[in-house]
Amino acid sequence: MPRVVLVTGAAGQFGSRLAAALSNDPNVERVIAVDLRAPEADLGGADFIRIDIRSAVLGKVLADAAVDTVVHAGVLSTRASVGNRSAMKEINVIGSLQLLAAVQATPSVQRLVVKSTGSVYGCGPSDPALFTESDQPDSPPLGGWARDCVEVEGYVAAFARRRPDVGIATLRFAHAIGPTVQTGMTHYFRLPVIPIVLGRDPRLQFLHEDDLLSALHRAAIADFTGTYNIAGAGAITLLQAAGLIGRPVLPVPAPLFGPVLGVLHQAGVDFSGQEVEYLAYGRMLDTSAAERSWGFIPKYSTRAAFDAYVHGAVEVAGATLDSTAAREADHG
Amino acid sequence: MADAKIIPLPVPPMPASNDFASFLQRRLAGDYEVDDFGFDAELTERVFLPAFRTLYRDWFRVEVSGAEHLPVDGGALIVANHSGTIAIDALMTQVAVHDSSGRFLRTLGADFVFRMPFLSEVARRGGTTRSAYLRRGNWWACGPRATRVLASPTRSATDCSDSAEADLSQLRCAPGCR
Repeated sequence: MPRVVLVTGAAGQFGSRLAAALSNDPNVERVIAVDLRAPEADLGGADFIRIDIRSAVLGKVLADAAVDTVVHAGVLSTRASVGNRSAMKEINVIGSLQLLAAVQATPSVQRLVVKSTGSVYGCGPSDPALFTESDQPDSPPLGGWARDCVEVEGYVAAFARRRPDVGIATLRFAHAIGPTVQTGMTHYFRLPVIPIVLGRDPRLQFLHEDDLLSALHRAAIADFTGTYNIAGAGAITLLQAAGLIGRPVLPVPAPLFGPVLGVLHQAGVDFSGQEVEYLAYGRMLDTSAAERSWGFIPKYSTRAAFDAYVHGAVEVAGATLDSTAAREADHG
Repeated sequence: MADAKIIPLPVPPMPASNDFASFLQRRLAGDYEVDDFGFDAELTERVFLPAFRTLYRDWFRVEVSGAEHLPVDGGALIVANHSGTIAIDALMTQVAVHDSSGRFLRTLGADFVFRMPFLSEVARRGGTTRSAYLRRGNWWACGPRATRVLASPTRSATDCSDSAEADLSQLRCAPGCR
């Protein structure tokens, strides 16, 4: 039973909500939330420490507080908060290496939870119908957040050999969606006309933001180990999603789709590199392992999560646009 | 002119067109279901199967025998021979299985199907998928010979079953062709 939990990426959309939720959990004595950025959201009863996980201070924090569980939610999925891709990669890759080194040197840590992504499987025409956790990617991700997560998972595997006594749970999430979360995908579906790849209607799979949080929360306080796919049940297709949100689509020939997304990126739609393939081929995760081994079934199906995004986003549509504009201003 | 008779024109049944309009409206609004493999039962039942059924009945004049052996529930693997390239015989088998048992036949498609735009998506909606296993109580069919013939004509019979030409391969013959 964990008593002191350290959450990285605590200024992130999920890190901050996770830290707040864990601090209200009677099973948890203390929550230490760390991030390089100051959190905008309320962290509840969690103690926030503003440190860079790449610095040596982290090891001291781990040892002084006798942390027993580390939740690594600090792998950035977008470059928006740090400015550019190289800074993002530096934080994701070097940050994770330093974090694992610090954890390795701290005997009190008995559990590590890693927030990863289903994008580590890549996307391509020869993918299996459903990816299970042991499947090797047929078209591995070549860049962006997905590539960073592949590298982080590799470091975690190496860490597991050096500290076999630490229980490790790696959660590979489908794209998170919901009324409040802001991702490249949520911005994409907010476009007045949704560009799609001509002749493609991929299967998409989503996970409601609340389900993502409850999976991380469960993983932090439980004692199961292993790698698990987490996604809402079922699938919707891209055309179906466009229909549900009531936006027209613009079919673009495949060779032009990347450049079109590039232009959109300039306009503030923050996609990571793999989205081009995802929007052409889609990807489905087999989620039966999480259900079998720790009984986790997301409350929202893929369709229900998308509906929650569509209907929840009606009230915050103005806010969505404002924040996009604000981010552009930051970049400028 | 005064003597002109009023000839009543047959009025198309309104419910059907209303039904179709609401069907179209729901499709455009995204209000339908696809399963994990992208199979769209409604579209298959209302669009694909009726289209194939015309060919099935009037062109190929398919006769089915032994349909009573098809199990009514649980997973089953249907292994058929077919002659490759254009899987029209697989589509006819889909009609045969659906019309004689009420169940959907799901087929495994070759890799090239999923590389091609348009075709890949239509195939998925119709129940074709890439390598999957017998699970979830579905039926899967595969025609072992088809793509071998297409991909490597010189070794078509080396590593796949070359059992006797099944009746299904006759499906490609048009009426009158002998």
